[in-house]
Amino acid sequence: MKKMKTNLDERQEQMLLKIECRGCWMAFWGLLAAIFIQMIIGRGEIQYILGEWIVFMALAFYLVISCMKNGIWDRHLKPNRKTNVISSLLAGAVTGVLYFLIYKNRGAKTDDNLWLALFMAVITFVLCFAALEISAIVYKKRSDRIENQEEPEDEK
Amino acid sequence: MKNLRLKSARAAFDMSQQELAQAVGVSRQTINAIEKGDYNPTIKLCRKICRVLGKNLDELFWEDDDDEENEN
Repeated sequence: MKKMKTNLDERQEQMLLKIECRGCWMAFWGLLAAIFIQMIIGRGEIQYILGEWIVFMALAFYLVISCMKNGIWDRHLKPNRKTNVISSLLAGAVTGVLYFLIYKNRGAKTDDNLWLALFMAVITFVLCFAALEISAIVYKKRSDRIENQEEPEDEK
Repeated sequence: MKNLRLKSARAAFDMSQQELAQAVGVSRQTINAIEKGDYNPTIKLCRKICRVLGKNLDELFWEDDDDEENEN
Protein backbone atom coordinates (compact mmCIF):
# COMPACT_ATOMS: atom_id res chain seq x y z
CA MET A 1 0.00 0.00 0.00
CA LYS A 2 1.29 3.44 -0.90
CA LYS A 3 2.19 5.57 2.12
CA MET A 4 0.40 8.91 2.41
CA LYS A 5 2.63 11.96 2.31
CA THR A 6 3.22 13.34 5.79
CA ASN A 7 3.57 17.00 6.76
CA LEU A 8 5.49 16.09 9.90
CA ASP A 9 9.18 15.52 10.46
CA GLU A 10 10.41 12.69 12.69
CA ARG A 11 10.36 14.71 15.94
CA GLN A 12 6.86 15.99 15.26
CA GLU A 13 5.79 12.45 14.36
CA GLN A 14 7.09 11.19 17.71
CA MET A 15 5.40 14.07 19.51
CA LEU A 16 2.09 13.31 17.75
CA LEU A 17 2.40 9.64 18.74
CA LYS A 18 2.92 10.72 22.37
CA ILE A 19 -0.13 13.00 22.21
CA GLU A 20 -2.24 10.26 20.63
CA CYS A 21 -0.99 7.80 23.25
CA ARG A 22 -2.04 10.14 26.09
CA GLY A 23 -5.39 10.64 24.36
CA CYS A 24 -5.90 6.89 24.11
CA TRP A 25 -5.27 6.39 27.85
CA MET A 26 -7.46 9.37 28.73
CA ALA A 27 -10.27 7.77 26.70
CA PHE A 28 -9.63 4.39 28.36
CA TRP A 29 -9.71 5.62 31.96
CA GLY A 30 -12.39 8.22 31.17
CA LEU A 31 -14.72 5.53 29.84
CA LEU A 32 -14.07 3.33 32.85
CA ALA A 33 -14.74 6.28 35.18
CA ALA A 34 -17.95 7.11 33.26
CA ILE A 35 -19.18 3.50 33.63
CA PHE A 36 -18.34 3.46 37.36
CA ILE A 37 -20.02 6.82 38.00
CA GLN A 38 -23.18 5.76 36.16
CA MET A 39 -23.27 2.55 38.20
CA ILE A 40 -22.82 4.42 41.48
CA ILE A 41 -25.52 7.01 40.77
CA GLY A 42 -27.97 4.26 39.90
CA ARG A 43 -27.82 4.28 36.12
CA GLY A 44 -25.89 1.05 35.92
CA GLU A 45 -28.44 -0.84 33.85
CA ILE A 46 -27.10 -2.16 30.57
CA GLN A 47 -29.11 0.27 28.42
CA TYR A 48 -27.34 3.22 30.08
CA ILE A 49 -23.80 1.95 29.86
CA LEU A 50 -23.88 -0.22 26.74
CA GLY A 51 -22.23 2.35 24.44
CA GLU A 52 -19.40 3.15 26.83
CA TRP A 53 -18.95 -0.53 27.64
CA ILE A 54 -18.64 -1.55 23.95
CA VAL A 55 -16.07 1.18 23.20
CA PHE A 56 -14.16 0.39 26.41
CA MET A 57 -14.03 -3.34 25.68
CA ALA A 58 -13.06 -2.77 22.03
CA LEU A 59 -10.23 -0.50 23.18
CA ALA A 60 -9.12 -3.00 25.84
CA PHE A 61 -9.16 -5.95 23.42
CA TYR A 62 -7.32 -3.96 20.77
CA LEU A 63 -4.57 -3.01 23.25
CA VAL A 64 -4.22 -6.53 24.65
CA ILE A 65 -4.21 -8.31 21.30
CA SER A 66 -1.80 -5.84 19.68
CA CYS A 67 0.61 -6.10 22.59
CA MET A 68 0.45 -9.90 22.63
CA LYS A 69 1.00 -10.07 18.88
CA ASN A 70 4.15 -7.98 19.24
CA GLY A 71 5.45 -9.79 22.31
CA ILE A 72 4.90 -6.85 24.68
CA TRP A 73 3.56 -7.24 28.22
CA ASP A 74 4.01 -4.01 30.15
CA ARG A 75 6.53 -1.22 30.58
CA HIS A 76 7.13 -1.91 34.27
CA LEU A 77 5.33 -5.08 35.32
CA LYS A 78 6.41 -8.64 34.58
CA PRO A 79 4.02 -11.49 33.84
CA ASN A 80 4.63 -13.54 36.98
CA ARG A 81 2.30 -14.97 39.61
CA LYS A 82 3.13 -12.36 42.27
CA THR A 83 2.27 -9.46 39.94
CA ASN A 84 -0.88 -11.21 38.76
CA VAL A 85 -2.06 -11.77 42.34
CA ILE A 86 -1.39 -8.15 43.32
CA SER A 87 -3.11 -6.77 40.19
CA SER A 88 -6.12 -9.05 40.72
CA LEU A 89 -6.33 -8.09 44.40
CA LEU A 90 -6.36 -4.42 43.37
CA ALA A 91 -9.10 -5.04 40.80
CA GLY A 92 -11.07 -7.01 43.41
CA ALA A 93 -10.70 -4.26 46.00
CA VAL A 94 -11.85 -1.54 43.56
CA THR A 95 -14.85 -3.67 42.52
CA GLY A 96 -15.67 -4.37 46.18
CA VAL A 97 -15.71 -0.67 47.03
CA LEU A 98 -17.69 0.12 43.87
CA TYR A 99 -20.39 -2.45 44.63
CA PHE A 100 -20.48 -1.39 48.28
CA LEU A 101 -21.34 2.13 47.10
CA ILE A 102 -23.86 0.85 44.54
CA TYR A 103 -25.74 -1.31 47.07
CA LYS A 104 -25.54 1.46 49.67
CA ASN A 105 -27.18 3.87 47.21
CA ARG A 106 -29.88 1.30 46.58
CA GLY A 107 -30.62 1.27 50.30
CA ALA A 108 -29.39 -2.24 51.17
CA LYS A 109 -28.70 -3.12 54.82
CA THR A 110 -25.05 -2.58 55.76
CA ASP A 111 -24.48 -6.29 56.57
CA ASP A 112 -25.99 -7.53 53.30
CA ASN A 113 -24.22 -4.75 51.51
CA LEU A 114 -20.82 -5.84 52.86
CA TRP A 115 -21.38 -9.49 51.94
CA LEU A 116 -22.54 -8.62 48.43
CA ALA A 117 -19.58 -6.30 47.90
CA LEU A 118 -17.21 -8.96 49.21
CA PHE A 119 -18.77 -11.55 46.89
CA MET A 120 -18.28 -9.25 43.87
CA ALA A 121 -14.70 -8.53 44.97
CA VAL A 122 -13.89 -12.25 45.19
CA ILE A 123 -15.50 -13.00 41.81
CA THR A 124 -13.53 -10.13 40.23
CA PHE A 125 -10.31 -11.34 41.83
CA VAL A 126 -10.81 -14.90 40.51
CA LEU A 127 -11.77 -13.78 36.98
CA CYS A 128 -8.97 -11.22 36.82
CA PHE A 129 -6.39 -13.69 38.07
CA ALA A 130 -7.54 -16.33 35.58
CA ALA A 131 -7.45 -13.81 32.71
CA LEU A 132 -3.97 -12.62 33.70
CA GLU A 133 -2.61 -16.14 34.08
CA ILE A 134 -3.97 -17.20 30.68
CA SER A 135 -2.67 -13.98 29.09
CA ALA A 136 0.75 -14.55 30.67
CA ILE A 137 0.93 -18.06 29.18
CA VAL A 138 -0.11 -16.79 25.74
CA TYR A 139 2.36 -13.89 26.02
CA LYS A 140 5.27 -16.17 26.98
CA LYS A 141 4.54 -18.51 24.07
CA ARG A 142 4.30 -15.63 21.63
CA SER A 143 7.37 -13.92 23.03
CA ASP A 144 9.43 -17.14 22.77
CA ARG A 145 8.25 -17.62 19.20
CA ILE A 146 9.28 -14.10 18.20
CA GLU A 147 12.65 -14.36 19.96
CA ASN A 148 13.49 -17.73 18.43
CA GLN A 149 12.41 -16.90 14.90
CA GLU A 150 15.06 -17.87 12.40
CA GLU A 151 16.76 -15.05 10.54
CA PRO A 152 15.89 -14.96 6.86
CA GLU A 153 18.82 -16.15 4.71
CA ASP A 154 19.50 -12.72 3.16
CA GLU A 155 19.81 -11.04 6.58
CA LYS A 156 22.48 -13.41 7.91
CA MET B 1 23.01 17.62 26.82
CA LYS B 2 23.42 20.52 24.41
CA ASN B 3 24.90 19.75 21.01
CA LEU B 4 27.30 22.67 20.73
CA ARG B 5 29.27 20.97 17.97
CA LEU B 6 26.25 21.04 15.70
CA LYS B 7 25.60 24.65 16.58
CA SER B 8 29.16 25.72 15.81
CA ALA B 9 29.28 23.67 12.58
CA ARG B 10 26.09 25.38 11.47
CA ALA B 11 27.50 28.78 12.43
CA ALA B 12 30.70 28.02 10.48
CA PHE B 13 28.53 27.55 7.41
CA ASP B 14 26.75 30.80 8.24
CA MET B 15 23.46 28.95 8.26
CA SER B 16 20.47 29.76 10.39
CA GLN B 17 18.48 27.01 12.08
CA GLN B 18 15.75 27.69 9.52
CA GLU B 19 18.15 27.22 6.59
CA LEU B 20 19.56 23.99 7.98
CA ALA B 21 16.05 22.76 8.70
CA GLN B 22 15.01 23.43 5.13
CA ALA B 23 18.12 21.75 3.76
CA VAL B 24 17.45 18.53 5.65
CA GLY B 25 13.66 18.64 5.38
CA VAL B 26 12.60 19.12 8.99
CA SER B 27 11.11 21.99 11.01
CA ARG B 28 13.23 24.68 12.66
CA GLN B 29 11.91 23.50 16.03
CA THR B 30 13.49 20.11 15.41
CA ILE B 31 16.94 21.58 14.72
CA ASN B 32 16.52 23.76 17.80
CA ALA B 33 15.54 20.70 19.89
CA ILE B 34 18.60 18.76 18.65
CA GLU B 35 20.94 21.65 19.49
CA LYS B 36 19.37 22.03 22.92
CA GLY B 37 19.67 18.28 23.53
CA ASP B 38 15.90 17.88 23.89
CA TYR B 39 15.60 15.49 20.95
CA ASN B 40 17.73 12.56 19.81
CA PRO B 41 17.53 12.46 16.01
CA THR B 42 17.38 9.19 14.11
CA ILE B 43 20.52 8.03 12.33
CA LYS B 44 18.84 8.94 9.05
CA LEU B 45 18.46 12.60 10.07
CA CYS B 46 21.97 12.67 11.59
CA ARG B 47 23.38 11.57 8.24
CA LYS B 48 21.41 14.22 6.36
CA ILE B 49 22.69 16.94 8.71
CA CYS B 50 26.27 15.66 8.35
CA ARG B 51 25.97 15.68 4.56
CA VAL B 52 24.72 19.28 4.52
CA LEU B 53 27.39 20.50 6.96
CA GLY B 54 30.21 18.48 5.39
CA LYS B 55 31.03 16.66 8.62
CA ASN B 56 30.99 13.05 9.66
CA LEU B 57 28.83 11.49 12.35
CA ASP B 58 31.65 11.38 14.90
CA GLU B 59 32.36 15.07 14.53
CA LEU B 60 28.78 16.13 15.18
CA PHE B 61 27.12 13.40 17.20
CA TRP B 62 29.73 11.27 18.91
CA GLU B 63 29.59 11.53 22.68
CA ASP B 64 32.64 10.90 24.84
CA ASP B 65 32.35 8.67 27.91
CA ASP B 66 32.49 11.81 30.06
CA ASP B 67 29.53 13.29 28.18
CA GLU B 68 27.48 10.13 28.71
CA GLU B 69 28.33 10.04 32.42
CA ASN B 70 27.30 13.69 32.78
CA GLU B 71 24.04 12.91 31.05
CA ASN B 72 23.30 10.03 33.46
